[in-house]
Amino acid sequence: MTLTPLKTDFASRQEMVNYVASLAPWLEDTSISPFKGGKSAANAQLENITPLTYAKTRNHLKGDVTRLSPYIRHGLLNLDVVRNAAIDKAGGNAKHIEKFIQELGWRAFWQTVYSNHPDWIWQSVEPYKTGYCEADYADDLPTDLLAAETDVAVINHFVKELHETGYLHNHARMYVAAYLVHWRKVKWQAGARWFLTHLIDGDPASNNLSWQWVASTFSHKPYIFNLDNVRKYSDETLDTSRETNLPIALSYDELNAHLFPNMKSYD
Amino acid sequence: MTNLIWLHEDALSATHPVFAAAGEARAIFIWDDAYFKRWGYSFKRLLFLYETLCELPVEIYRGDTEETLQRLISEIAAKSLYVPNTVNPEFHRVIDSLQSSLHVQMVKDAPFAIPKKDIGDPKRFFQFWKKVRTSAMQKHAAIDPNQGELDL
Repeated sequence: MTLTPLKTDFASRQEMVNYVASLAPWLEDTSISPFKGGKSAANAQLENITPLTYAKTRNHLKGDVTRLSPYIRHGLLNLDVVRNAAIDKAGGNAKHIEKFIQELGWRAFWQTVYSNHPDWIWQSVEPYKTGYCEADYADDLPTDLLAAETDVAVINHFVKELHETGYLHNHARMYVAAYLVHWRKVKWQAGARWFLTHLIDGDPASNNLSWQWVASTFSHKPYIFNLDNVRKYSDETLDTSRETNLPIALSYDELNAHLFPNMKSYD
Repeated sequence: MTNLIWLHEDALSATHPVFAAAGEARAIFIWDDAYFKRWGYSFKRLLFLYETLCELPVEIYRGDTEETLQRLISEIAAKSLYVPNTVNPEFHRVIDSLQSSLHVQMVKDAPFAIPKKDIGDPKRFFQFWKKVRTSAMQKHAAIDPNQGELDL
């Protein structure tokens, strides 16, 4: 019997959405992300990037990040094209946008590591540097986290954003990963898999190896953050009041003592 | 006898060098339910993929990746299979299996950087960046993508 190709011609976007939903009956939630697929959308997004303001603002949750990641991950745009477009936008002077190009380099780095060590996507590269071992970390995501009902308001905000849009600012990803691994003592693999489910740009290399970086299984030390840090990089649309964010409303010294009581210090 | 291009989720582009390399060819994408379930893809991800595919000169076939590719290869009596380069080990396993049936050619995209020295096995970003920085900071024309040492 000859194989029949799937339908690719639709009268409307909604008709396409309904068709794809019919292809995936195991998925109950058929909400879609704000990202439009396809090369036209990719090129339009590329036109809008502002690499010159990227370096100064990239850590801010409302900073001038490009949101090109879904298009880059799936090869609609490659790193060469993006770098070239960015250099053009910088008037031909790459020095003004080195930070931006360096961040593209991070994707190349993660892909290189994945290519050399496919196993590292799901296995810890190194032991945790937290003073804890693998067995100390839970296998499953806490239900309150999945319901965006944790004891940290900013985390709840990011979880909702992840679930509803399929995208998170890189800094928010780091906050969520750190919270899950270090405050809630959940294995990085559970978090990585959860992110791959929702992130439109989810890439095993960048995603999983970055989770390991936060966890300290692929870095010298665990990544943590506090409320002051979130306040510095957010605006009034985020609830950063102390009362609703108590577990992160501490100094780094206090957090290190609280989260990692067994951690060896480097002498 | 025509060539077949296996366009996968790492290279959804009509301007990928795989098209030039394959010449007279049919491009296909395999919609593999088991793959999506294994990776736990949400509907948002599937929709993004599908919307992207609809803008590409590609035929979409639903089924197990290896099985469906094998069937298509037989059905059209494909001469060679062209595949955009990927670091996905699952795709590599499929390619390894298919190599017994026909010639499989992986085709690289234009490189991000051409390092002066062997990249080696970097475990920290700055080890890697030192080696690629000079090249990465320049615009490159995609003269010969297969010259790039970075396996991207």
